Amino acid sequence: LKIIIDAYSDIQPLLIWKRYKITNANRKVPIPFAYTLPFGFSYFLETIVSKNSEQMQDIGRFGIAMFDTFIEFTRQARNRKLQSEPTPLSLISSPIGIDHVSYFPPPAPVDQSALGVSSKSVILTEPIELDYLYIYRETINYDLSFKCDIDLAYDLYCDVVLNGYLIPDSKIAAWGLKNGTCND
Amino acid sequence: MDIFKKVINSAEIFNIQSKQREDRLLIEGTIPANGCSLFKVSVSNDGHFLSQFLTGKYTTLATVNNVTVDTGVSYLRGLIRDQGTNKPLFNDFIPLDLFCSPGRMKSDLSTTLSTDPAASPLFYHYKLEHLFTINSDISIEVKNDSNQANKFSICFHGIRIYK
Repeated sequence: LKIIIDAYSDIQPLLIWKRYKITNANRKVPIPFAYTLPFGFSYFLETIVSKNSEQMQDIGRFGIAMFDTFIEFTRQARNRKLQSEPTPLSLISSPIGIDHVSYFPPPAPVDQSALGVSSKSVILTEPIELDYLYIYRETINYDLSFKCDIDLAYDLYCDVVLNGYLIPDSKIAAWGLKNGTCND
Repeated sequence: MDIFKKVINSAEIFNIQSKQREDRLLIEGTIPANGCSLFKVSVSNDGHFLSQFLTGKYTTLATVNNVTVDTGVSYLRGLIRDQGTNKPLFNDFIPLDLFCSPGRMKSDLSTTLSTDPAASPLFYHYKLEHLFTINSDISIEVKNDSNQANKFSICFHGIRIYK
C-alpha cells in the first residue's frame, strides 16, 4: 500500500458523542440530535458506536431514525428519512445494551455534559459500516426514538458516538462531486 | 491462498518500504482523583505519521468505604487533539470505553485484585484514520470522574511516511 499524502490532506476524523436520558415520560418521544458542522465542511459518517442501559424486560424499540437534511446553496431545505422505521441501535452499532444496575446514578460522577452518570465499561465490537456522506449542509440531523411499550421503572441512559470525517468543500470539488447532487 | 495467484514485485515492495513503514505511537499516564490531565506524544522528525487504528486500556478504580476497589465503571473521558493543526478530533470528552479496546484492565492497586474479573481480550481496534504531520504532537486531555486515581494507555497504529 503506497500512501498518497495528498489524499489525506484537509480531511480529519471527528467523533461526535452525545449521552441521552430516557425517562418514563419521554420513552415514546423522539429526541432530536443536531450537530452543527463547521462552515464549509461536509461529514462522512462511517460507523456508530452506542450503548444503552436496559431494564430486565425488553424495553421495546430503542432505535434511531436518521434524517438526511439538505441545506443546499440554493437554500432549499428538504428532509429524507434513511430508514422506513427507527432502526434499533443494537442492529447497526456496537457494543449495545448493558444492565441498568451497571449504571451509577449521581452523586457518583459528575459532569453536566455526561448527565451526571457513569457506567460500567464495555467491550467494543465491530459496528456496521454505514458509509454515508452528508454533503453540503450545516447540521447533521437525526432523531433518536425511544419507543417503549412498558413503563420504565428507572431512568435509562444511552451513549451514541458518530465516527466519521470532516471533509472540506475543496476536497468535495476535487472529487468531482457537484453541489447537492451526491447521494441523490 | 490467493497470494499464490499474484506476482510479487519485490523491487516495487522494497521501494515502497524504503519510504514508509509500520509504526506505533503510545500515550499513557495517570490522572489524579477527580482531576484532568494533558498527555502528549511527539510524531517526531522521523516523518509524517498516518494513524489507522487506535487501541486503549484503562483502570476503573474508585474508593468505596475507604477501600480502593475495581468497580468496572468507566470513569475516564478523553479528548484527542491534533496539535499540528490544533484541531480536536472529538466534539467532547468521550468516555474511554466507547473508543478503547480492549478497555478495562486489572489494577494491582485494587484491594480485591484476586477476585476482580480478568481484563477483556483485544476485540476491536477502533478506526481513526488521520495524517499527523512531521514534528507535530498528538495530545489527549483526560478527565477522571473517580475519587481514586486511574491510569490509561492508548496506542496509535499506523504508517510512518518519510519525507
